[in-house]
Amino acid sequence: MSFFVDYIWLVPLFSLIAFLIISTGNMFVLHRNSRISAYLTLSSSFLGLVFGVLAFIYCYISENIWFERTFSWISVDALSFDFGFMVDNLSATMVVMVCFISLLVQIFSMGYMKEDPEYSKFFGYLALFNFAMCFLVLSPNLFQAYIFWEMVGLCSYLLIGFWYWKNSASKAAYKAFIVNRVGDFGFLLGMVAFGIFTFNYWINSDLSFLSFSDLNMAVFYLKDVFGGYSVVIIGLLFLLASCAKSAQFPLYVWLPDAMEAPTPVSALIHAATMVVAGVFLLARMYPLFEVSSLLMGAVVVIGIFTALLCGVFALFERDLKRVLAYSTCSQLGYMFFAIGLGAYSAGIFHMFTHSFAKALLFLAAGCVVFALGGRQDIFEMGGLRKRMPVVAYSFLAGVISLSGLFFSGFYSKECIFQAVFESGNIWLSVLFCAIGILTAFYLFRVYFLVFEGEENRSVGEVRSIPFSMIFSVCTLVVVSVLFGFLLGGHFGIKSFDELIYYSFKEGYRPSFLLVILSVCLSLSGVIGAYLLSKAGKRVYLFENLRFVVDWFYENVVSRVFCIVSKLFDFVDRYIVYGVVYICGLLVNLFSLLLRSLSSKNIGVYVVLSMGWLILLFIVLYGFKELFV
Amino acid sequence: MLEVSLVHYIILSALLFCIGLCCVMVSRNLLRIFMGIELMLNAVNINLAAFAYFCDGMVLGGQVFILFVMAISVCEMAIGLVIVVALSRHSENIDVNSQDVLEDKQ
Repeated sequence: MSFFVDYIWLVPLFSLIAFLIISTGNMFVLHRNSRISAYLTLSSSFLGLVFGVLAFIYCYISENIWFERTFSWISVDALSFDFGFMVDNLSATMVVMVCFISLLVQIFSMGYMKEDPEYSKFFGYLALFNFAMCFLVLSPNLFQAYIFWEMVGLCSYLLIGFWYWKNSASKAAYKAFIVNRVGDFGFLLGMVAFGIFTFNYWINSDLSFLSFSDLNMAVFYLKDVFGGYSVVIIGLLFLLASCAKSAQFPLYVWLPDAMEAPTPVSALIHAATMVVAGVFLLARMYPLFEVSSLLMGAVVVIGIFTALLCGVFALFERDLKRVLAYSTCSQLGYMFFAIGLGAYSAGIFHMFTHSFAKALLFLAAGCVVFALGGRQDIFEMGGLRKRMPVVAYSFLAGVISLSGLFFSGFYSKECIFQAVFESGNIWLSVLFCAIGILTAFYLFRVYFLVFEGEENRSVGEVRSIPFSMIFSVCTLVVVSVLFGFLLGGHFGIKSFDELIYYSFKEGYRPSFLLVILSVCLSLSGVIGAYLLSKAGKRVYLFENLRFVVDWFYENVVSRVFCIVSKLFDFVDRYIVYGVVYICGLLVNLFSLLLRSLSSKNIGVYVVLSMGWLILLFIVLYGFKELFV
Repeated sequence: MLEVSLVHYIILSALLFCIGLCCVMVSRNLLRIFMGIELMLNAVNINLAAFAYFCDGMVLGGQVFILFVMAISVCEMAIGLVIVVALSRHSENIDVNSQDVLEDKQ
């Protein structure tokens, strides 16, 4: 069994091979846009899933393993950058989740992208993404994590702009890339700062540089030698990185626009896997965050503010996929919030349940968009439950799970709720309840508008949905329903916080009263949404609210940025370049002098060379003490 | 009667070298430049012979070296004279300052 842990690097490798075969084949027009690329990608993900599951089972049986295998990649003096992989319960579980959702999304895409002219390119990108994401979660040190962190960002950019002929898609791709760049900048700075400050620690220990193992010792060293503020500053830089990747408040703007991507991409990258990389980074860097209450406070504030703000935006949104995108931001805010409160495993648990539920919702939404021929406005839909019952009930299952009424989402949400309640902060509890109501409200609003009520006349013909799409949606329903039960601490199976924990097992068991309270709150949200849809009122009131933030970025941030850039441009152009130019000018002037000596007369050259020779002799004679 | 010593030879060779150098410096005729170079080489040869005679008379290293210098200067002269002949056929004068076919005349 330990074989699979030893060889877990094969999981990303399969995907890389698939990607290489597809891309070279495409390049040399060997098998352009043939089904081979889809089957290659599928089989690589499937093999990866098998390896991942077996490795996970091994981790599950053994008690909290930490298996690391690396080779020295770059070594300078005592310093060595390592490359390799690392398996603990967190990364094994992440690998299983990533491979599983990847596989289902790829099956889904076989139907969804069937008529796309760039069919194999799409699958190539998906394979590349799978490679990068698996290696990101298996990274044993910050340095390697950074490489793959950038790589998943690249895949996201490529896939958002997949339909590049659409102006909005290419703009959205740019936006995602640039906003993520801000975060990557934070990651890089944080990593470099952390590496420099704790340099002596790594040199004296036999650990590899910036390794995740024994990170808390490095953090203690940092705190002892450089004081608490260094921890806060480095932590904030990492938080910036997490905020960009996981679409949290100041940097969430790219995620709703990323919905320009094909729906399977939204399901895979912008809901289930890549966007949780930020939360994953928080979890990996948890020792750093833990030592400073200021940092934990910052994580909580960002999380809860994003959860609230994006919940409100989701409420007034009319694009089906954008509602889900705002909901993703909001739910990621939950996870930040939980981790910031110290409920480490509750936050991670919510990450998993959310990933399954959100992938399900996106795939179901993809079915709707596919059936309606690309329309996404929820006000133009209605009564679709009779036309596509399977999709409707799957969507309902996802909505129920995500709003914490029942199924998996229920368990994770109760854990977080318990953590909030035990933190004893009344305002946080109230805000959390408000967000609970809000979540149920906007999710059920979408459900009622799309699937219930009067059938909308303008819908017209509904395309039949291919089997592959229905298959992956149904599988996800089963998983997202069962996942929470299985890891909720029943039937003698380890509960989630026994599986993945940091330093201690939290053991949040939701008390009965809190469960009742939370379910009632969610139900009130459902009833509100139902009444709203019955009344037929459409909320147009604050529809443009979300543009405020975009306006702010476009008109304030980019203006300020322009001014700063112009300043730097001035400095570069006239001061830095000026110095260089003056140096060149001086050389030029001197050479003008020398140039006047040159003539056609060969005798002058002989005289000059003899003169220089004599001069040289004189000088050497003068300094002869130096040479003896 | 004045004894002929090393210093006399060195002065002779220095004078010969300077004469050769002046010849190279001032003359424009290629043939005369060659003569100057030849004088300078011979000045060096005198130096070599004198030092060899006065400093280590038994080893003959300096004298052997003179043979090499002479051989090299003969080779050089052969090539040099060929150039002079070719030049005089080509442009009918061997004034070095008027040889400007490679000059960039724009």
